[in-house]
Amino acid sequence: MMADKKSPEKPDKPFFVGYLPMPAALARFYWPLALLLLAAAAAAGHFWAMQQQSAGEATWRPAAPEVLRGVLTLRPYPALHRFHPQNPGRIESVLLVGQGKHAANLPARFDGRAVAIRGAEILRGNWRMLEIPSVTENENGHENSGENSGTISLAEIPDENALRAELGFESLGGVVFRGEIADSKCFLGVMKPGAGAVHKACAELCLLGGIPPMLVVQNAQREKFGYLLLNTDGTSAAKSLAPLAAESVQVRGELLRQGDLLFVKMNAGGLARF
Amino acid sequence: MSHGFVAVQWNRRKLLYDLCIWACVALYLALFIGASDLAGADALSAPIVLMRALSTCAFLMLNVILCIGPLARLSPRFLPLLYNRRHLGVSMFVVALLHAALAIYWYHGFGVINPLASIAIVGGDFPFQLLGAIALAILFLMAATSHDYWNATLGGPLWKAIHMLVYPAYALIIAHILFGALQQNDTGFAPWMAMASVCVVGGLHILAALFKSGADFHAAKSSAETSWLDLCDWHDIPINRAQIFALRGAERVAVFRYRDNAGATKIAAVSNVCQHQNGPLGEGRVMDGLITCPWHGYQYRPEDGCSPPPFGEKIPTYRVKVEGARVLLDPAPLPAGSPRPVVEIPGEK
Ligand code: HEM
Repeated sequence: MMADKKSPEKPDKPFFVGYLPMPAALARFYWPLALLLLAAAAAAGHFWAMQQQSAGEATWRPAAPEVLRGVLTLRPYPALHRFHPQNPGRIESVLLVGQGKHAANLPARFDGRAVAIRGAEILRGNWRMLEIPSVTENENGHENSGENSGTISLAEIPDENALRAELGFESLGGVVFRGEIADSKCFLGVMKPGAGAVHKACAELCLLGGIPPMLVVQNAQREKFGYLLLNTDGTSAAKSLAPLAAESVQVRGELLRQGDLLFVKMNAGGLARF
Repeated sequence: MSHGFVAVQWNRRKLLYDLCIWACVALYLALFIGASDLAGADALSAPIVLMRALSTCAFLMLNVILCIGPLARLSPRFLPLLYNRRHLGVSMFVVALLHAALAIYWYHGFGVINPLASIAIVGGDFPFQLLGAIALAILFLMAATSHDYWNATLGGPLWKAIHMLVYPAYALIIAHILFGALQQNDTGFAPWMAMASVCVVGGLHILAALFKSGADFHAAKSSAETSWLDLCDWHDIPINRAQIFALRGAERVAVFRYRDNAGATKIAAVSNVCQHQNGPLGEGRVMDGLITCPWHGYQYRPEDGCSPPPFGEKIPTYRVKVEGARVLLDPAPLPAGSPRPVVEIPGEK
């Protein structure tokens, strides 16, 4: 018989067959590897989460609806105007939007009237927005406190006439701004982050649904300012700007103020991307 | 080894493997969510955090899946990871599906367009979500056909082709990450992970291709006078193992030296390709007189290339002869499952 050094009788390395017991040498390799993988999974989860950037301070409170009182205007975008609770010399204008990716849908007969509206607050900086469910009214058309109160009802408010006198549009002259076209609802706090290219599809759907489009302009101190955008005829630019949602653009137009809302009247077709 | 309608033929190995997968997934998700800012004024939206946790988890799982193949080729020590890789694949699909469902619900839901249609309609010039959706469709196809039943029904080559689609799916997911994040002003961390992934996965595949094909496959030399190929000295084949020889074209032959159940030493040559999932039989062993595939333990008789009853797998066989110490091979394959004389090495007990 030949001496055969090259082919030892015993297999040189443990051979794994799934349905047979694991060779001891392999088991010694795999138990520490399993523990290592568990530790790596935990570390990777923590690490990756820490790389996320802040979306800024903003809140949405769907679980705690509020009732706000003021004068309602439906055009160009539905808004409720009131004297600022903390600073009664100033007007606060609260934008109104519907639930999901839809504009607020309010009966035209409330336009220009003093009303009480119930909805979920969306807050960012000095901005206050109210998300309101589809409209239900009380039988008598009046506000009715308690469990059964509807979304909107006529209300008595002090200084109603003084308030209404302040709600005309005031032109502030020509402007050129560079910024991102955001849907105001997500940007003001419903989605965090609610701007940027990753959010484009959502922003586009929001604008198609009639959510007011907002040009978000950032200054050198990284402070953000929002300007609502209007077509040159003063109507909602939501649908005309939908394809440009989440894009960075240069806007040239006329700056307007109503209450404490700032608008830019512009030609959506003439916007330059940058 | 059968592939009837049994959903999963559980054994201790598979249970431990799956337990380990889901423990890793649970730990990853828990730590991701735990480390994200979810309370207070500058909190991130919970669905977005969950969407990111699931997406990055699925992506890491995909990377592990893609590294197992080359690792197992570089060192047989990693073969046990390959044994149950399909469970890892299906688990990854489930995690990716949850990510996609949440993205569709949150970003495409509640609007004026059907959420599923919306993926294709809105999103601008770089619809990165559409790329993700195509990748998800591929992963679904793979997960749905992952069972051995489909392997047997569709046939090895078609099944293998479907499962090679994991590479296009991976490319689509890299593009999904890059086109999503790179459009953002502050691009963040994901593109770096995508680049690192391409380096690791690509690097391992290149390493495996370089070191493995060169080291393990021997080119067969043809002897001038006859059609028989002179392969090697039979002493060079370790006992109960094989050497793999590349014939002309892509064909590979595994030549085994083994001890049969009666204690005689024999030489037998068969195709190197396991009928189950194209596993490299020549990297397997002869156990209890049967050639055993290193991937999933499928077995074949050296005498005729047939799986022992009740199994029905068959592989092509080759004729060999031994002259002196040299092993010679007739390069014409015999039809799968053909018996032919195996050569006994006289005096070797
Ligand atoms: C219908 C299919 C899909 C849709 C709609 C979709 C949607 C999205 C969205 C919207 C984001 C951005 C998330 C954010 O940061 O806010 C994202 C990121 C991501 N997706 Fe998908 N996705 C899909 C399929 C997939 C698949 C199959 C994978 C495979 C693993 C995947 C992996 C990722 C990864 C790794 C990110 C980056 C996360 C980060 O930036 O932290 N996606 N996807």
